[in-house]
Amino acid sequence: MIPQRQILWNVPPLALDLLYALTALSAAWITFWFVRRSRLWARGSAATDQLGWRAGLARLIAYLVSHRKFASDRYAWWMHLLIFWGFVALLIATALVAIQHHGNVVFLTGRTYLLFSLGADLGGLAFSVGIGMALWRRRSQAALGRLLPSPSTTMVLWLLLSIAVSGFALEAARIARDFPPFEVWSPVGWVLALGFELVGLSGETAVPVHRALWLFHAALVVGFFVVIPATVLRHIVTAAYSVARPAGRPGLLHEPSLPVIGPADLAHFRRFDLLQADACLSCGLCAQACPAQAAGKPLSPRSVMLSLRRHLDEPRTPFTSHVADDALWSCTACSACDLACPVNIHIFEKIVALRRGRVAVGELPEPAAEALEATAQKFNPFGKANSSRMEWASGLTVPVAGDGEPVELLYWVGCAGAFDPAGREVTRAMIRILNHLKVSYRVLGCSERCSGDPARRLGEEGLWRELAQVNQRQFAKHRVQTVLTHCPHCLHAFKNEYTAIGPMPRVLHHSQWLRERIADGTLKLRAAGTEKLTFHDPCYLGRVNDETEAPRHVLGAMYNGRRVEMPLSGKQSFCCGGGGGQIWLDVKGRDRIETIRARQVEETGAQTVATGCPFCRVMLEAGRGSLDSGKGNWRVKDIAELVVENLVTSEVR
Amino acid sequence: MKVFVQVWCEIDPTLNVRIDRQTSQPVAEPGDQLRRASLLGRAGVAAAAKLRPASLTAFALGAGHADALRYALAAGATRAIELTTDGPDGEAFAPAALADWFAAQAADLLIADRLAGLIAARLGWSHLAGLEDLQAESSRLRALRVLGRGDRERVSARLPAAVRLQSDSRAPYVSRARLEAVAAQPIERIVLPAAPALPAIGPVQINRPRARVSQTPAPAAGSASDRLQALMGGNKSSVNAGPRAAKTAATPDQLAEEFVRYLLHHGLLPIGKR
Repeated sequence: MIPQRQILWNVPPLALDLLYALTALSAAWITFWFVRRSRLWARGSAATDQLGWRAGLARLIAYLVSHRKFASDRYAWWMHLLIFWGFVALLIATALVAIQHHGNVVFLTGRTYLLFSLGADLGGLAFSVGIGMALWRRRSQAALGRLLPSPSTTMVLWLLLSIAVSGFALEAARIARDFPPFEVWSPVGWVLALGFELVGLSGETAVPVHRALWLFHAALVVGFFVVIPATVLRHIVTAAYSVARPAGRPGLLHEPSLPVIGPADLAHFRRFDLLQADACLSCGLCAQACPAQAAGKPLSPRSVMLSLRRHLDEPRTPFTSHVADDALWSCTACSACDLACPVNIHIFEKIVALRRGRVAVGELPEPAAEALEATAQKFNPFGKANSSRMEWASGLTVPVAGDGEPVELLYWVGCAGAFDPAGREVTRAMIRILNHLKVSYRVLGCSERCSGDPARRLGEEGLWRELAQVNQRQFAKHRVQTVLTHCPHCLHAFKNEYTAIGPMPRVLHHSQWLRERIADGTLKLRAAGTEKLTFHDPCYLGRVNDETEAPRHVLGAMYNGRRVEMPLSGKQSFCCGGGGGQIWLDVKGRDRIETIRARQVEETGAQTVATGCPFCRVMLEAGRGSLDSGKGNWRVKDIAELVVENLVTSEVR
Repeated sequence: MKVFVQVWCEIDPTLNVRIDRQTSQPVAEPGDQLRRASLLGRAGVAAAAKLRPASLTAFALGAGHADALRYALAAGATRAIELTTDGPDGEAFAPAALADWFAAQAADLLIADRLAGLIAARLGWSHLAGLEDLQAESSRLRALRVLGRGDRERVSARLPAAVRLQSDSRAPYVSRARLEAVAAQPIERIVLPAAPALPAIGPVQINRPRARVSQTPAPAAGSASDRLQALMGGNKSSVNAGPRAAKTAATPDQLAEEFVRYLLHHGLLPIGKR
């Protein structure tokens, strides 16, 4: 007996015609929905970067093969991998059947048929198991609050499971008619067919059952097509497009193509941003990673995306009716959500787009308005006279760049480094190191202005651009070759965002520069005492700028073997709570972000927590102070301060 | 409703400023920005914009206030006017000419600094000072008057009126994008006749300085100075809320002190004129 089967056996021709007609109608409906939706997406501004199809396809395939963005959640990784590859196997099987049936070619025969049967069965099994896992997670995680109750998603999952199960039942009924021995290569169908036989559904009695099951299965498949656009299934198209585009750097902002002078509108988003609203799976990974949510603040990154989608559904209602102001101003700009999103949605950029709308109409929290006003008038968000920028240098020899003097190494002090008392200590430590190493460097003194990073993250794009242009002119005037900064926010602005305006010199974080000095042997450090140390990765150094090694390398030179890691470290670091303008804002939650981080430090048992950001330093100190009495017996130091403590010389102590 | 709001640029009071000996001009330290759009003027524009008037005109007395006028346009003003005089410095305004100009504009509400009292006196308009939370209803203006130390009273006045806001009124932030959007909008320049001679502030008023809006006396505030501060714009405004209390009798010394401060406030004494 040659292993093969009659395609579409026992299917009434009228039913088949009806299936094709309904499938065509479904395809028309899907096309209609996406065309109508794309008109709404098109109300956004065009992206400056274009998607190269070849590169996009390669990215998509690499993504689908590895499912790498799910790696942080193994359950989700297995679940989606099984669903996706099971679905692909079933899709291929259906396509092969259709080709054989309509192409009048018989290739599903003999060994090919056996492999086809086995592959289709295993694909269906994987798909069923994946859907089962999804249903289980929906049930278990809904209770934990990670997944929002969504009847439509639950319905879709049951629909998919029904399609898979009815497909197996259909196969079983076909096998149960005469049990051809080669059908053991359809193991699931064979086992079910044995079950059918046990209840008396074998031989000719299986024929009407098979026909009924085929009709039921076909109806479910048509139902699947119909619900694609209106449910989470639309992500098959939108999420595929989202991951096909370059993932981009978390936290990176793009300049809006139109100046924002009114409340947020679809035109204030990029088309791609609007499409991503439809790509959101509502999986809650972003919410799980969000420090504001962990502190019980009103922000949920997922809600922002769902609100954006609601706005697409009802474009006439203002955004303010979808996203509460408190939620918008709770964001710390840490971009943990961007990194966590399995389909590469940059949620923070959407939050900033909404903030821009609020800033444009002057409706922003008073501390944020004061910080922006101060930045606009005094060129620093601390509201201090810019002429007092060099007060930190009292008692130190600090060379200030002369008018038009070429500068090989510019040490960028930054606003926190110039005005904040703790930040000044970091600056003074850096100056001691630079002077100790007899490096030729300059500072800009009172010509330095805010990098504009806080303004941009608060939604004041125009002020950011204005400051960026002034600072770039300064760099050009002094023909700066390298900018050295201890502030990761300035680093990010210069390295990744100023480049959209004009060319920039090389930009280094002080940890990177110190690593280079250790490597070239100019910086010699002695081992610190016996204390344990942990490192808090600043979001804009680790997560955003991929630099997690340089600070550890420098610390390793002093604390070798005594450095302990917090569970949330490196690119997964937990925010200090001071980014995105939060150092000035203070939206109330049930807890404080800096306190949560301080507790995480406390759990390591370290006596010192090092960091590489003046804002993190302030916030960690605040968090330490907020711990219960008896706790917080550790100190917060910047890398530069620890280097000064452990320089192999006594003259700079 | 036609609203006029005075705006101006001022020296940032939080900076260290010195006078250049050569030019006799104020100079800021390197790195600082000497002037800023007055916060009180900006608060005035914001308060006026909240009234949703048919036209909101921002004006500045003299040249050098273009930045403040641009702020006003960005914050919702429909016109920006730079008033100058045909005198040598363009800034010695004749009170009569200013008052005539406002009368000719058929303004319903003028929000200004010290100018408000002068115009109210000249034109017989209602005058209130130390206000916040302005609201216009038909032909009346309602507002909260700040008495100091957290005390406030509700006041109302018949329109047209000339008012001064509370000096620490917060000016809402105006984004750079909005400023850029109005950068090309024209600033009208209107030349008024200059005052013939000093003092430019005008003659001592013979008539009652401002129109009164009610016969009900205002309640006493926490102290005489608070009361004085609150009543700079008028001592017969109607009071619709707040604890009612009989007016306390002041001593002759207190009355004299109040009178002198009143004259100083309106620039009617040569000393202490700002």
